[in-house]
Amino acid sequence: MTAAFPATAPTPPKPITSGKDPRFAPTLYAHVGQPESWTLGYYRRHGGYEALERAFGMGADAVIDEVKQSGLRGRGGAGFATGLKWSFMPLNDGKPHYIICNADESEPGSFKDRYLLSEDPHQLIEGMLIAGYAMRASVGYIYIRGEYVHAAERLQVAIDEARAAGLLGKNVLNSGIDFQLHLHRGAGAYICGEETALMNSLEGLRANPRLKPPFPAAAGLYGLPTTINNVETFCAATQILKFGAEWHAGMGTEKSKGMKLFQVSGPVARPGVYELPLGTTFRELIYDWAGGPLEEMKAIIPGGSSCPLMRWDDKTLDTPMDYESIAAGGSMLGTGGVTVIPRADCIVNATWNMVRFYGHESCGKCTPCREGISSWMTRMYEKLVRGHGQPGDVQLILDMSENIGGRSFCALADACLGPVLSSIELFREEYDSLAQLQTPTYPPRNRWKDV
Amino acid sequence: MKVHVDGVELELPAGTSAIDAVFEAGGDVPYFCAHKYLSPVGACRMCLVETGSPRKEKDGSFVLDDATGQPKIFWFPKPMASCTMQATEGMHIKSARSSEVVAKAQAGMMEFTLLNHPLDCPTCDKGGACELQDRAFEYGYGASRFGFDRRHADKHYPLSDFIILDQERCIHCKRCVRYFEEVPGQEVLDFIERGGHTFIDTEEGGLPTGFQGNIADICPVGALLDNVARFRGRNWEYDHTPTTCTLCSVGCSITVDARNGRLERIVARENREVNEAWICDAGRFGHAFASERRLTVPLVRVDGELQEASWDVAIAAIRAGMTRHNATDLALYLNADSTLEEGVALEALADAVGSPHVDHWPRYEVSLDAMPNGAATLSDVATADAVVVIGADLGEEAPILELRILEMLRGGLLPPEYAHGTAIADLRLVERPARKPEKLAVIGKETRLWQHAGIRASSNGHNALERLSRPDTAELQAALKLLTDSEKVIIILGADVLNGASGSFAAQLSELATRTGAKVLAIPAGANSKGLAALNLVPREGGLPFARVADAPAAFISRLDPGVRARGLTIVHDSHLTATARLADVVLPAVTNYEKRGTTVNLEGRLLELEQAALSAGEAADLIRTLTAVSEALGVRAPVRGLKSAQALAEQKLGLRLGELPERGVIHAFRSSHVAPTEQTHVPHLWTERMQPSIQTLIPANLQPLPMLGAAPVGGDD
Amino acid sequence: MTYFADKQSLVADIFSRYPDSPQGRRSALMPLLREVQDAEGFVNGTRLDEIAALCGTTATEVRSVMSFYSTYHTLPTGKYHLQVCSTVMCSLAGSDELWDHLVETLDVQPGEVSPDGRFSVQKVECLGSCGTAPMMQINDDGYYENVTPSKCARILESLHADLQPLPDNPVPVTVNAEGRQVLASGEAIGASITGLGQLPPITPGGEA
Ligand SMILES: Cc1cc2nc3c(=O)[nH]c(=O)nc-3n(C[C@H](O)[C@H](O)[C@H](O)COP(=O)(O)O)c2cc1C
Ligand code: SF4
Ligand code: SF4
Ligand code: SF4
Ligand code: FES
Ligand code: FES
Repeated sequence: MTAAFPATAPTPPKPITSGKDPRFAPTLYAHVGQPESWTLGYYRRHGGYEALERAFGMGADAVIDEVKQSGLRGRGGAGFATGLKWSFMPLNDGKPHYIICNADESEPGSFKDRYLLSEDPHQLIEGMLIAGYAMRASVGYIYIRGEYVHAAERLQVAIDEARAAGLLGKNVLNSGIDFQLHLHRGAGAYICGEETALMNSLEGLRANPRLKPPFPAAAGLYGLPTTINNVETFCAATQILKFGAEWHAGMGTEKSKGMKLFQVSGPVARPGVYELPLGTTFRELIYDWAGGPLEEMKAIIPGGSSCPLMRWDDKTLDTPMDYESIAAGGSMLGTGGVTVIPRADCIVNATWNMVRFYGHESCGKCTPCREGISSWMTRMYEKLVRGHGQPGDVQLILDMSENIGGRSFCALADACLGPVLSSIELFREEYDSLAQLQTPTYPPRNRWKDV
Repeated sequence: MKVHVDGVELELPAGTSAIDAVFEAGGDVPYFCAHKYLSPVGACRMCLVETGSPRKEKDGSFVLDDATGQPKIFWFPKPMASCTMQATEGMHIKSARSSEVVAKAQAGMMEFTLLNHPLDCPTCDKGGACELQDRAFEYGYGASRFGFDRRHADKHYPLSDFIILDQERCIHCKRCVRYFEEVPGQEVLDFIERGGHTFIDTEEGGLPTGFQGNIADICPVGALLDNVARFRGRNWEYDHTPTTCTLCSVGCSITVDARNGRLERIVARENREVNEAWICDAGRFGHAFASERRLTVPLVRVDGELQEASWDVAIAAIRAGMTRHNATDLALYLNADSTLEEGVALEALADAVGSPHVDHWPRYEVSLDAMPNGAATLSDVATADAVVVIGADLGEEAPILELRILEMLRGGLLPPEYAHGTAIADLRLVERPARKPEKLAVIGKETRLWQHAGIRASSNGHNALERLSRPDTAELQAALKLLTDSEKVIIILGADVLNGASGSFAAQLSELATRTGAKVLAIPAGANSKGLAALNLVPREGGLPFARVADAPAAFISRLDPGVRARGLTIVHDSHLTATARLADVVLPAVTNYEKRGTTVNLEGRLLELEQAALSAGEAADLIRTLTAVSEALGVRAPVRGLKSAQALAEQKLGLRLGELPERGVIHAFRSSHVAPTEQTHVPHLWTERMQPSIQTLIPANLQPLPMLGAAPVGGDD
Repeated sequence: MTYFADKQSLVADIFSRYPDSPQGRRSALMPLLREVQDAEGFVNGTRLDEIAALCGTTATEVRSVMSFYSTYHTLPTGKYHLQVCSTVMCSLAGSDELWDHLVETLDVQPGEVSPDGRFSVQKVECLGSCGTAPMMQINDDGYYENVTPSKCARILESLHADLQPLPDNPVPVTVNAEGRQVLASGEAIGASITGLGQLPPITPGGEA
């Protein structure tokens, strides 16, 4: 194991935890938005595929070590340590291995992967080549949500270009390594983002989640060892191999290292995607980068709709956006999709929308989700919002939630409870008003306006 | 391994699921989606339990609880589905018996399960035998807080002539979908849509006949129902008779449900060693004959016409008819699905009167009992490393054998057995199991099994074996290689090779078996041919085989329909007025095998019991009683005068104890001592016309055609 | 008429992406459905049979899988199938009103096609464009984002004239050409990727 790059910096500098830190440079999105950024020519002119050559030079095990040392955690939502996950793949078992890129990005509030896919596809391809090499996989699939037509086209062109340039296929860059990469388009189902459902979908089956164990690293796609990572995770791997584990670990907090793509939606001056070090505060993201709210706010969804709401207050705004701090604040970093909810919008109505989303996206496999959420919870919310609420309704929703939570087959049902339980906890008075007085605290308003 | 269930420690084999651990401890867990012979999927979430396990330190020692000094139990924060959880050493499990959390979780899940379920129990055929109804009573809240309109869907949706679906009642356990995919290997039924809109449907224009009926047994609710038995009775009104199917030589365990003397329904009964939990569609739905157009009184030909008569008159008619014959002229023929006891009785009568013309039909001319590696059992087939099927059409000859072969292809994992029965959740079974078609070679005509076989060779007749011994094509070479190279191999032989097979065939087979180490399973021609062949029920010196019944001076023909009469006195013993019965001089009413007590011997050589279902059959009698009457007419003392004496005689002749057999039967090494030429070939044909459910039973009363249109053709055995 | 009979190379290309095994064949199911739908606008029963045969399965399975997803159609849609995101971020930006407006002005309900055959509408879930809400997709052609009332009017006008505007692809990203990220205030701040110390290549040899 010859990690040619010694991890012995003199005195460790203070970690970077602000996008405004003069040392911080965006890398994942460095080229997003630039003309022709999606072409191989552009990518190569900007140091493309050099990380791959470094990886080949280091050896497969050293690549996994490098990723471990970088402190990278999965960017798909759960935040599992990437290097550790890669090391679960069996070595020398003589079986074909697969790696899959989870480009299903369907968590409401998330839109970071989309631009990585359409604007910088080679960064992902390079990351998958590196990962494939590290995990002895010679075939990779990118499972992209069906609606990302534009991104899929760009990606397909990029794959073809890479193949023509000898970067994909047999004997990549004369390394003796074979790596094939294929695109597989989904067709509209949120559950396909769940890794085992994704594998079923890729196998042409109904996208119901599978039983675990066996875990994908033991028996995944086609029953063979498989590792699935998010788009951003693979792209971060490219940057880690380029700039080093130490560079990556120099950003963020003790347990949440590196940079993260944060997305801001809702009525702020400049919604969009911002690449910031983990540990940046909500306040910096929302005010300095996104230009601040356009009206009075009451809640923040910190990481996609599955994450419990947080109250819009100084405490929340000053919370650093890293896995641990947000967890301590009662929610989750999730995908980093931050949505702000205005004071004047009925929280029960907004939650109804989210519950309806999960009900619509329930795969139908297990009872608590299919019946509890899809059939019942959605109607409880409809009843409340439509002014037919009754005094016991909120209590009933809480009791149903207790009967659903942790009892479902996969995490989708629990995800639905994120907004439900947090909105009841934070804004009980809005619920009570609907349940007892059949009147919303914040009546519907026209939000469709020319700006 | 030691596991603690509700505070009680018990020792369990490794691999036990948490749900089986609870049952083994004498506890109970409600479940809907788990099924003994299907992969556990964890879909219904009813089987929640609390579990906790000890943890180990890095050095391998247990993390100890400071207070007690015992290994500390780390409980999962949430209840877990016990059907998909493996019990492990030192695990603690709490069922509803000892956990409030579990009791609440199960009641909550029951409320969800019942949310969209219609309150149909009073008109549902499943009522009284419904897993949902029972469990809701035991584990539910007793009331739903839902308060919205239930999902509405098609309540009378025929999936085939045999199975009707009520989409509103479905609780999405997926048993039916998994069954088709995992057991007969057919992708013919699946969920459509997703989430709360999910429903069951097929796009095949109907379910394939073969094994579809099993889904009515395994559906935990009344969503999938036996359409033949639809609205025929409530479960508590039926007389349930556990017995054995004798439509073919597999001998599946079944329960016959009768009401008001009619056979209304047949359902599968578990027999781990024979049919597991499955039966074929013929065995399930093909019972129309048991209750329709039965012959209930003897008939005697008077002035050329058959007229109803009493048994005494019939006996007198036989006596009168026999005055023109010697008793030794009376040929005695019986159906090879007759019980061993009946066979013993007939053999004894033949001995007593000295008639050389004795035969049972169908049968083959060869005895293959003395093969070198012993007889193959169905469990051997299911767990074999390779199977070579030669000249068999299993769909016609032994359908469940086909399922056992398919079980072999998907790994041959027989679920373990506990004191509470077969494992409820065998975690080795997986959805969409990998199949190994290369383990199966099929030689012969193209059949349903063909599509599952990795090696297929077309061949005709009994030279298939010879060709296999000296393969002349790549496929046959591959089949021989499979036989030679695999450890545990079975050769299955069917009618196409067994018809006309002789001693040289047996020698050749024996040689092949010795060379390859294979066990041999020859499918008997009739349901009890294997048992009857152990008796002297073939033509004796100078006797006429059944094929020559028309040449017999006089004949007694039990439940066979050759369509011709003997030269002289012709006595037919049958349950229906068959073509032969119409030609007879005396017709004696017979009971069907559903109304008999006795013993049958299946293709493995397994003794299985028949029980008597309460069907109305008037004065019909089984063969033993009928032969007593015939003896009386012949003026001889009947050597066998009832079941007990037949069993005593069987014990004497065959060294067997009959009666009070264990439920799954016992295997006996039969030696067929008597072989003789048959002079005809046996064409296996499982579904006979009289088994077809009549039109009336398939069409709801309000849509019934005029009675005269509904009448099916009368008689006809084949 | 079979659809794939004269498209053997396309079919071969699809199959080449997956293992040469029964499981691999089955993987072609979704790509094949997509091909048919892109060409014909929907997938009918005959096509189900055809795809089933290609994938080594049954029409039941194809229908089961197809019905699981929201973007496959069993019936023809309008020439312009408007898919309006109705999930929370778009809803907070007015997608409910946008939807009502479309249903009203086009006089078409979900599942229907407008009398002139031009329009059909469908509510869909978050399409990953929440930063540019409200939004909709037209056919399988691309996203129309920040669909304000006036933009909506322009789009509908063009569609009525059968001049479908090109989809938008705004990139709501604020890294400038130098690679520095720009604050809301307009100030570029922090470093650029070009200034990061890229590590030297490692020559292979020690480890393969
Ligand atoms: C209901 C559900 C939806 C999910 N959707 C996505 C998704 O759209 N994209 C994604 O990358 N991960 C998604 N995940 C997480 C994945 O299952 C998986 O953890 C992730 O792809 C692993 O990649 P990572 O380690 O790089 O984060 C989802 C999980 C669940 C339970
Ligand atoms: S919780 Fe159950 S029904 Fe919901 S998506 Fe997961 S497996 Fe499907
Ligand atoms: S029809 Fe019956 S067996 Fe099939 S999924 Fe529904 S409840 Fe289960
Ligand atoms: S396989 Fe044979 S014994 Fe079993 S049910 Fe069918 S006909 Fe009866
Ligand atoms: S989840 Fe259905 S029995 Fe366990
Ligand atoms: S909520 Fe509409 S695009 Fe995300």
